[in-house]
Amino acid sequence: MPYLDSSSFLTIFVSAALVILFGAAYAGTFTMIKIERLRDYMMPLAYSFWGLQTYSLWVLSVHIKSDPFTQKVLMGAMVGYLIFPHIVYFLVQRTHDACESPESH
Amino acid sequence: MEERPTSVWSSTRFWRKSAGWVTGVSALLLIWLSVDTVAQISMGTDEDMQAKKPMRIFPSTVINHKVTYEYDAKRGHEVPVIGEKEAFFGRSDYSPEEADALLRHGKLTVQAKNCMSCHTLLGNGGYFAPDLTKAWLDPAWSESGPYMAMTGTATREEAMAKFMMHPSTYPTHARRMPELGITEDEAKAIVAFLKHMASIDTNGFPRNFAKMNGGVNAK
Amino acid sequence: MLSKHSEVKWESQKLAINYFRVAIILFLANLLFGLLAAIQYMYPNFLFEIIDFSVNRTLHINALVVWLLYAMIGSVYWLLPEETGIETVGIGIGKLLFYVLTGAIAVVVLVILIVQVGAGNETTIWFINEGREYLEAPRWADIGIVVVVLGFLANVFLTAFKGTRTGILTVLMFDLLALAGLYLAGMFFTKNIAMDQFWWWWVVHLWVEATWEVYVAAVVGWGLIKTIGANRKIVEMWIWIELAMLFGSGILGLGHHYFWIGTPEYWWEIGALFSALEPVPLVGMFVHVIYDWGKQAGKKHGVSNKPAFAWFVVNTFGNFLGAGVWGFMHTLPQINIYTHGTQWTPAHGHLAFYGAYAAILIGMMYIAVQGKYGLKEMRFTAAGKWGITLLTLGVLGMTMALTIAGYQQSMIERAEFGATWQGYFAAQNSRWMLQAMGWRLAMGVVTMLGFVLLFKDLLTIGPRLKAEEAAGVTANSGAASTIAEPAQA
Repeated sequence: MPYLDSSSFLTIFVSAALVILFGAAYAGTFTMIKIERLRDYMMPLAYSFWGLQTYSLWVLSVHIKSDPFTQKVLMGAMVGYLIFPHIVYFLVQRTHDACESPESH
Repeated sequence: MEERPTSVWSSTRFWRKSAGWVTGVSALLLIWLSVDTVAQISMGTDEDMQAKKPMRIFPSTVINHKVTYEYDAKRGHEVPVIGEKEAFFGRSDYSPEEADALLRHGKLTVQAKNCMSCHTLLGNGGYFAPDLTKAWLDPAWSESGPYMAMTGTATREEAMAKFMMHPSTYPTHARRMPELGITEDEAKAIVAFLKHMASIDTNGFPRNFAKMNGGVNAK
Repeated sequence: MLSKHSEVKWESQKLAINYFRVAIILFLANLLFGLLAAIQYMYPNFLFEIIDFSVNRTLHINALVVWLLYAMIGSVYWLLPEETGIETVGIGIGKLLFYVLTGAIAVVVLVILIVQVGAGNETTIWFINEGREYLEAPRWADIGIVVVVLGFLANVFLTAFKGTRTGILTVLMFDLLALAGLYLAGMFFTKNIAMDQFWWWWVVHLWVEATWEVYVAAVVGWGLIKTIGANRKIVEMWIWIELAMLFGSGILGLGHHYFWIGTPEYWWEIGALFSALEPVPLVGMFVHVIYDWGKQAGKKHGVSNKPAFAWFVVNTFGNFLGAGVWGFMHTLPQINIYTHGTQWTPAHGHLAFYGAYAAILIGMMYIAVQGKYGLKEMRFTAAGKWGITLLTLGVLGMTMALTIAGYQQSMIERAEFGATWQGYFAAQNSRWMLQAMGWRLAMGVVTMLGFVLLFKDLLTIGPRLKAEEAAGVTANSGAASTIAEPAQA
């Protein structure tokens, strides 16, 4: 467990909060575009939220002095999170289409 | 109840099975890890402690010894080191049975007085009063701290016992500890509990404790 | 909620209303003792050696746990006959157990309030106070709770086997069984504090971060069918998906409590990994809610119970912020070694309990009021709107204040002074801490105001909307007056 410099505490707390908040912003914007509540051209915005989230996690991992291996694992996890809203949306759509087709009513 | 699914993704049965597997595997992993952890956090024996075998939770007889912390480069934090014999209320020859009884009485009293509602034990509990995890080693209770002089005692254990029996006699801060009717026997037992708790290997928690002057004999 | 008027035809739902009534009284106790404790942070002499902080805090957190459990049991008795289509089997026993449990809780509260502490022996543990945070109820009450819960489970299981066993019920049965079984892990004495805390977390964590979460997923699903006419098949499928994600992350997420209590280091990695995954199901829910909202906007089917639906929305966001954001801020071991045991924990705890549990159960109370008065539609009253607004603002405000307190405590006490007594008091007396505690108290008062309005609304909204509906029916004499709830298929 590394000794942390207390001057990095604020950065740690803020970046940790931002990881979750940007994560929600990415998933939210992505879904809004998919259901056509936001225009298609906004998609780069959704992905830039993911970019900011990845950056926040990077900053967090540096400030908590993770070893290089853990940092790589975390960045790998962010690739996973890039796909996650796609998977959830895919599942939501499949389940809704299967159950809400006209003949099932 | 279920119509024929158009794909596996919209099949309730598939998701029910997946949920069952995920839960089952997680629960089994947790049980497996718990079996290992319970073995590691069971109290060691007095013989093993005398033989300097590594252990996370020392036996009750740890109260016969000096407890210090030393930096372990391999683990990257301070670890407890059980030193030479040290008198605890004038004795350093508590038998395992006596020490067990004392610790048991102490733990019962800690629960009966609901200490955990204001203090934290191992960091869990209330935040209205200081953490008790390593209170036994705290500089405030050493020769250099205020409590020995205030209570007119010569040792840590006596200072602690005397304080908690009549906390309102020794007000130190605006926030005071109430009188809880702690008897002399109970006070001694609580101090034994605190000394034992201070010897638990808490993976370096609380951070920086060992750096404090007079706290422990850390290098 | 208080009047004798009732259009409820199931005995099970009448029992549910009794559970809700006690729950709301205990909610009041929860807030009241919380306020007293908050005052003591500012003015330590307030009620000193009369009702000490330790007593106030014990009642504050236990009233919370018990009111949530009461509302959870009440919600199940409410939805059980609607799901199964039959009266709850053994409802007479259920009613008797309600009075037994309520009597026992009253005795426990009075003993903790008046006797407070005992001598350091087994008798105290059995009859006065078990002295383990959240599980302070003495042993006799533990056993009583187990007996009552077994009776409750018998009600649920027998009814589900006899009537229609829906997917929602299957999840609930499985979950309630786990929830009840886990309580047993807290019912023993050991002199080894590390062992004590190890099993204590089995109860506390596996309740609030696993089985309670799944319970909420199931009940929200049921509530969405009720309030916005969500499709049952989708809801049931998604409850299983959510269950997989919640248990998949939550069960081993237990590891984040095993960093510093004497347990081995491997819990660092396990705890960090799985607690980092704990927000994932929340994101899943979030995406789904947006999808539903988008689909809903174009449809005719309105919201049949606006206050309940609003509380479900507070639940989604509150859970995400309280459990997700505030959880992740201090869950990694590298930072948790500085924050564990500071005001960070109550900052996270207040918002997470409110968002994840209080909100959804208040929503269920509104659904019960709607059913009790047989209202076709339930709209927001001014009191209801102000209630939800002030409660939410109050809890958010307390959370912000406690976050500031926690931040400076981790800076001063932990980073600078190494968690010594001197460090503890240096942090407590710092200007930031004192101001934060002032704000926490002020926001606690706002929360209490919100509660008063909510309480008033729950008592009066039913008769009022009923009268309005009746007036509407008379005016429009052709309208059908059958307003019984359609039974669920």
